[in-house]
Amino acid sequence: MSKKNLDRLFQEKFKDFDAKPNKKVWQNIQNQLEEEKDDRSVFVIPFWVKLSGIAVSLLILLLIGNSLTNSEKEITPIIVDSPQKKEVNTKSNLSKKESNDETLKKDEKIVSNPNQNKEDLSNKQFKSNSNKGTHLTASSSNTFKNYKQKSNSSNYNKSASLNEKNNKIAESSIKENNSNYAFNKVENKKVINEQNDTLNQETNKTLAQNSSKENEANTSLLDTNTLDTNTKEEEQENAIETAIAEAENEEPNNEKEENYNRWSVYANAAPVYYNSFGEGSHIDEEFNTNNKTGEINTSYGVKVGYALNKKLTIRSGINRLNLSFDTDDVIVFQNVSNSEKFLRNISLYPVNNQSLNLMSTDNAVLQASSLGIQRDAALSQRISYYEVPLEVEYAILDKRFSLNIIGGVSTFFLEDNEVVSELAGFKTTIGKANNINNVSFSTNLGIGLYYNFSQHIQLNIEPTFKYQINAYNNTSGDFNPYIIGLYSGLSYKF
Amino acid sequence: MSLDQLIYNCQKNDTKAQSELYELFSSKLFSICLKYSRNYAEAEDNLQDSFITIFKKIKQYKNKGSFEGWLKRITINTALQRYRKQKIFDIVNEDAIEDEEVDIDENDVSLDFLLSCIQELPDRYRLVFNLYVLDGYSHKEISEMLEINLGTSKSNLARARVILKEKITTYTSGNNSQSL
Repeated sequence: MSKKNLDRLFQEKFKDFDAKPNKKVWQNIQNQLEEEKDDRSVFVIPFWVKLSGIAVSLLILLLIGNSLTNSEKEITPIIVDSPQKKEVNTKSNLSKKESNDETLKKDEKIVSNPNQNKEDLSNKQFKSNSNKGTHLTASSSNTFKNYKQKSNSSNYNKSASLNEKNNKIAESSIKENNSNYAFNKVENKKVINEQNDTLNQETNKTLAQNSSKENEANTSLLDTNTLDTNTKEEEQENAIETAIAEAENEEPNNEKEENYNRWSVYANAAPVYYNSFGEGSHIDEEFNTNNKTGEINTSYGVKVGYALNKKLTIRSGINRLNLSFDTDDVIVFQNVSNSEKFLRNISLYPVNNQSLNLMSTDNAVLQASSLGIQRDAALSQRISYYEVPLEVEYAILDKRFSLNIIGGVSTFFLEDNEVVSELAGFKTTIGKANNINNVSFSTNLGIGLYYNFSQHIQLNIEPTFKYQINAYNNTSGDFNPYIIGLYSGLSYKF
Repeated sequence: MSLDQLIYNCQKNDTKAQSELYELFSSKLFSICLKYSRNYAEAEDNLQDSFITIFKKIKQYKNKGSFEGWLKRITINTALQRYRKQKIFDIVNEDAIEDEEVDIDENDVSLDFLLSCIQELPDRYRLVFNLYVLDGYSHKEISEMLEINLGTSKSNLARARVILKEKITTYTSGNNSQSL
């Protein structure tokens, strides 16, 4: 046995401490490792899924960002609602005033009885109160002052008549009046003051001593009463206000709950009819009187819409638009003489190394001897545009079936144009118009007929009229082209 | 297979290597678990958790410092995580007795007895005693590891020593009286 440092004892004993754990521990570890491996293998994600996941999450972030900016806008309706609140408040105030008037009248009767033999002091007071009561504003400080004055006047009555019954009635009437004191006007107070002053001067000295103790007791009673009624009134008022506030808070919530899809993508295709108002020709005055027929072609594209609110949607996109327009009764012929007549707005290509010319059949007699005539050909002007519309859509009817008015402008970027001669199904490109502007515009007006299959999918049919502006330079006569399209397609809202 | 190769294979989640690593170090680490835990069963749990952490984090081991030291730290931390949350109300005794001495014949006390003495200590006394006396951490390090004051660490150690001394004294006196 020897003295030993405790720490050293443990250190030495545990120096080579090894303890073999039970085999089951390793089994548990193995099991746990395998479980985690399995879990991991489930979550092995191919790289393209990851990439698309990133893309999707970016898109979602973008949308969240958008919806956040939208929600800032949505705050405004709450502010707009506030006038309603005021209306409700004033209504409740009015109703309160009315009830006050009633109580005032009641008071008048009660108080007037015991005072009949006396000066009509209290009557006057109450009359003036009841007359002006509706215009009064509440003030707690006024109430306390008025009570003292009232109690003074009641004390005057009491001491003058020395009638205990009267006293009791007066007291009770004062108590009932408590709720009305709050609405006493400053003017009334002045009147009462004056009256009280004169009365008090006469009776003060004798009365004051007798009734001072009673006064104190009365006023204290009255004060407590008023406090009670005041607090009750305040509570009621508060309760009403909070109820109103709650009701109003719920409304914007409801609006948010009915949140709608702001964005929509709309793929559309349309048969489009192209023609012009007025008698004129975009090619040359030669063809002003010729019969012109519009042709039906196609337009297709994509639009993206953004709903500013439930009624108003702004949208834009891009459409590919093919148009064609026939000038009938044209003779296409080979130029034989050097004295060829140049048409104003068309450059003709040589076909089979032969330069061509055009004329209206109306003038054919002059050219009867010319060779290689294509008679009664139609001159088809073909134009393809890229159209970028900017339109506003206003919902008149917004149910499962919705009706909208669409207005806006389009910008047309010319892609290609050619002039084709058509004769008996035989089409030859013979040239191109040189007076079609590269950029032109149109004003658009349409009706949107939509059918909602679901919250997200919608069928759109939009008959639209587009009136083109500055499509051509140098047209001959009246040549005002327009486009009528029956755009239809599906839109996806999100 | 060298240790480095073994570590490398473990980093590749090689099951065989993991098994070998366990064989190599489990006894050493289990002894740590026994010291830091309340009892045998909890020591096994701690060992299991420690090895799971080791295999998960072995990729982060960059051959800096001793591998065994790294394993020990993980094992100790696992135990600390389990027990340090369980706070005890300690009476901070700044008059800590630095050198507790016991009358004892070394052969009288077995390792198992001393181990059970340690395991019976309140959690934090046990942790501080192990960290300071058996694993050579400073009070500053201990206070950081257990998120306690330096003074608390010192007083915890002193309390641990007092309790241990009492246990050993009663044990040896009991043995002596038996032998008489």
